[in-house]
Amino acid sequence: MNKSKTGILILLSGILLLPVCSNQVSADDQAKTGTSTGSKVELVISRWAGPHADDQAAVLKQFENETGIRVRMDAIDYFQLRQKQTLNLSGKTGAYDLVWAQEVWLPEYVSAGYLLPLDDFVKDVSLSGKDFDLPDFNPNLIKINTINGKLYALPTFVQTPLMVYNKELLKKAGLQPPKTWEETLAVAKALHDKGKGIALPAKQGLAAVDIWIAMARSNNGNYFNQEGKLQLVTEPNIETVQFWKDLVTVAMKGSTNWHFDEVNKALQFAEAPIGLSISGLCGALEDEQQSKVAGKLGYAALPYKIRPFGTLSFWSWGVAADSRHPKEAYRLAAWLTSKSIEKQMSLKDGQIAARQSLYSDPELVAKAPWLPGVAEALQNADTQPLHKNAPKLMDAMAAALSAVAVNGEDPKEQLEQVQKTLAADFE
Amino acid sequence: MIRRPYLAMFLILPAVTVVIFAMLIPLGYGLVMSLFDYKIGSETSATFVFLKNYVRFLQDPLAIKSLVITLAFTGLALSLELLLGVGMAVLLRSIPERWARILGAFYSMPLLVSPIIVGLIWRYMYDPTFGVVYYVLSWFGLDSVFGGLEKPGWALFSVAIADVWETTPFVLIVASAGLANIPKELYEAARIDGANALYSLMRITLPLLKKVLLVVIIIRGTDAFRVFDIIYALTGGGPGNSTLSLSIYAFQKGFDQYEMGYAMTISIMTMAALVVVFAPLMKKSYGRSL
Repeated sequence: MNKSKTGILILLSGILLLPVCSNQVSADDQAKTGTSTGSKVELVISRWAGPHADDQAAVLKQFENETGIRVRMDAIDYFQLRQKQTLNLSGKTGAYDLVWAQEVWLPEYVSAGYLLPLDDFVKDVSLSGKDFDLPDFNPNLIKINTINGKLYALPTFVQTPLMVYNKELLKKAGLQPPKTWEETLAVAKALHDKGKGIALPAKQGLAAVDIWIAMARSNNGNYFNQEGKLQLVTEPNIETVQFWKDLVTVAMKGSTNWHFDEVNKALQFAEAPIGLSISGLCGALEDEQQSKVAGKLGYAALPYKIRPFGTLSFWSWGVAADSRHPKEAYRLAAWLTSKSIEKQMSLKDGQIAARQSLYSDPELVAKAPWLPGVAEALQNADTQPLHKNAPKLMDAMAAALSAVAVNGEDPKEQLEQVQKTLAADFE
Repeated sequence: MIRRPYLAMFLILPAVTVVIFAMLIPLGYGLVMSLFDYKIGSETSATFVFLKNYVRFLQDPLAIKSLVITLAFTGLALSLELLLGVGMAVLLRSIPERWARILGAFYSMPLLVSPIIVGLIWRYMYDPTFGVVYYVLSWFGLDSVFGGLEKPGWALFSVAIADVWETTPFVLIVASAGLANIPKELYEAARIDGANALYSLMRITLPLLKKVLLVVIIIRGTDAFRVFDIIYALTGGGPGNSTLSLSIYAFQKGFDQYEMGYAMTISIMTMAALVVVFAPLMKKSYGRSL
């Protein structure tokens, strides 16, 4: 009896260990074949979730029909996206073939060896396709994506923060759409006195920093001096932080915990008469199915001091260095960024592509009323710094702007603190 | 004396394997890598800095601030959870059993929701424009007083409330199980002797629940100290870094700023702080049970 009990216990222990061994075997098999779908190629792309991702998922079926290559999209929240990409790319899991990355992430990705250079692929017409036309890409964006003389990603989705206002609500309040800092503050105050205010993405984070630097640059301010050294404590920068502080006092309730998504929702549901949002989300504002304010909105560059200035942010497709199908992945990237597909996406959701020929396409301008506002913002525009220590600077500025917004801290003191902490990192 | 020591060793082998591979090896790796300066994905080009990261931690005002915030959050959340959890368990014991079971199950439902979803739910609940919290507070004229997630001091309190909502059911379940072991005759005898409800609670219930509460404090306290998902979903560490816990700070350093060595150091220091705070309690807990 004891022997049989012992035998049963040993058998149960073996069964317990069996799944561990079998998982390893099937993982090895998967690594050899590259996909879980036998001989057919399946690509996995990583990108930011949202309306644009949904529209792109629909367009991808076309690619599948044309090429027989299946595509699976891993679309996740912005705040988790870089972390998830970094974890997979650094672990060389082969989980992703194509990654959608922001321009500020690219230097880090390239230096860590996460992405493949694309120059050889670009020259191969069988992969790039006839509709590719490399010179049609915005040359600034190609230049930013070219690191150490090699092209690492194809630019696609361009966006910039915009001022969005509800023409009807402003008219009802007897107000004109503002342009300058003074005008914006006056309009926001008038609305705040009536129980509303301006919707701001003032949550501690990069949205606030993107807006701040655009406004600082519109006032001839910047992060660095001519020699490229960190110089935050300048009159234009201090004035800009002060303006941000003043704007928060007349912001809608809740703004200090809002990112662009929440601001967009406030505009979409006619809660906010005016707000600072981002061009990539404007499609939802003009969607008659989802928005209460479709056709009622006006768009302009961010409030400026001297001249309009935009923060240029764009996303690009890069081929993962550990992709098991790099040629197919590049083929997909080239297809997604081709003129015809970019125009299709722009007509679908009003996205701004990196294709110069599309900026003045009449069909697109009619569909996306925010394009003139974007054009105004991008007349003078620049990205956030692409320095390897830029993420530290962004985080520190985000905390400083939040401290000014919620605690009423002194703008000059906050800038001095950041300068003192980070000056050595930008020598 | 164990009659079949080899059989015993064989049977605990799976558990030991998990402990070694899922706990000890990663811990050892973290400890070693905290002595280096490197970015994620660039481990092979790491620079050995010995204890420089630890010195940096002790001199980093933001690291010290995040330690204080973590301690404050742990103290606040744990106190509220114990108060509410034990209180609800005691109240449920005083109502008919059928209703106690139904209500107990109802109160336990937040445990089924994942922490990140709890954070997202409460983020919208706390929104002054769209959320239900401010709507209800406006009935009592308190919406202008309550700082929610916008004001620094209030933000930590609001995050703690969301955490308490999620984890009090755990305390309720454990306390209910502990209360079930207290003989009813003790309460009857106390009632006959003229003891009121408060006296029974302080002199019978709580002393007899001590062992159970010690275990709850250790489990929930260590969880609260390592809080990440609910803060990440609600505030991301803001406003003004007022909800920046050690875990969030380590995450920022490792994944936003690519300073993985320092992030490892923050994690090791978190573990060290946990040992300092909770080891005496664990020792007490083991001492009682031997």
